[in-house]
Amino acid sequence: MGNRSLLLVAACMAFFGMMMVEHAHYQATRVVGELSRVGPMMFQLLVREFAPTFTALLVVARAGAGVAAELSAMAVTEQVDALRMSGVDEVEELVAPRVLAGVLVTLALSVVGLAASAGAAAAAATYLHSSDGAAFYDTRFTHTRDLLSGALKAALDGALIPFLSARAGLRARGGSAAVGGAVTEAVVTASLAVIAVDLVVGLATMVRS
Amino acid sequence: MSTATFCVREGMRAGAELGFDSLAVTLSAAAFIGGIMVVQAGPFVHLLGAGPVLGWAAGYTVLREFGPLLVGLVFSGRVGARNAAELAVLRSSEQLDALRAIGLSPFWLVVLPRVLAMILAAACLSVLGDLAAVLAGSVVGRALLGVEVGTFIRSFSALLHPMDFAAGVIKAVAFGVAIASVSSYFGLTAEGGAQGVGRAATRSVVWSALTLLVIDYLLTGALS
Repeated sequence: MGNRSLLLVAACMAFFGMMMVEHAHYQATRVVGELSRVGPMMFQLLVREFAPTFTALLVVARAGAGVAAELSAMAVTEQVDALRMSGVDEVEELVAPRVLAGVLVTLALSVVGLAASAGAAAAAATYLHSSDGAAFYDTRFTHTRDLLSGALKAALDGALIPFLSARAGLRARGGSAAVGGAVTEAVVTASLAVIAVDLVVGLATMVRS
Repeated sequence: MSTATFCVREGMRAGAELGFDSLAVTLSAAAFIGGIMVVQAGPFVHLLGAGPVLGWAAGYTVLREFGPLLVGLVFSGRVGARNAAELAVLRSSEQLDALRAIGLSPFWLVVLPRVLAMILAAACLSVLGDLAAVLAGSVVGRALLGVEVGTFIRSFSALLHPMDFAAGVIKAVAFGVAIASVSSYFGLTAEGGAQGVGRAATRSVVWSALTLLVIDYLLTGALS
């Protein structure tokens, strides 16, 4: 699950970081004045918000869709029924290991996503806008609370993505058209779950004054 | 029935099936996004006393960036994967070859109507999604940060430029073009039975995500 998502996460999050710098640059020229002043705040937002959530959405696209396609192909070719007949519990055998792997992999990939986006942001700020790139990995505003919020999001997403995808896959019935339906259902429910987790954890760990 | 009539009819069917069915999931995703943006803006509102400009801040980020991007990612999962899977099924059951054998073009009859329907659906969904996100944002802003809905909407309409709205819709249309082309490509080149269909859908989602983020970066620079 993780290996195949690694390149996708790194590439997409690098573009994400550069895109954030474009916005920051546009805002900075109008409001704040100097681009690098936005850097520490952007890093905090990446840690608590964008790195876990966008990484999780990419894991949905890559691994969630993959799990649903794999398990639904097994289900429509009656391999799951065969497992069940030989006394194997399909949840224990097929779902549980994927959920466990999902948690570990999503946590690790979030760190990769954070590094890629912050690194690309720093590079874009330095070379495209000749500003102080180091500000974009300045941890001045990033506290333990932000780190915990991000890690909690990644862990919950990592458990929910394989669970929902496996559920969609195992419920597939019919021919090869059902495989397509299972992939769609997995991606939709898992994406919504990721966005919902983002809002709920965000609310729970919100800074109160 | 002429090819053109069929093309229009198939386009409307695809539009209804691919676009309308995604309405609920898009609106709920967009409403969550509106809420998230306000929650994340919360600390800055407290820090800087920025309540009066909350509507602008949340609106700017939602309209220009996260609205189109997240709706695009959901769209690629909901609509793109389905398009790829359907085309893959048509191909692996040799129905496209059958069309070709009786002298009809699969491109005009099957692919083009879907592509046009998907682009139109992406544009419509992004406008409706914007609306849902802004409404949800104003409600969350009232509930959590005590910013009156009137204040939220006022700062939204006073400080936002029509260009902020247009930039988001332009992005959504570009995402629609990208998702339609990518998913059609992987659907039409699918090989094998059930596994081939799954592979086409998965690849379509993955490459759509990558294409979306690259286009997003390029357009963010071009439209600011």
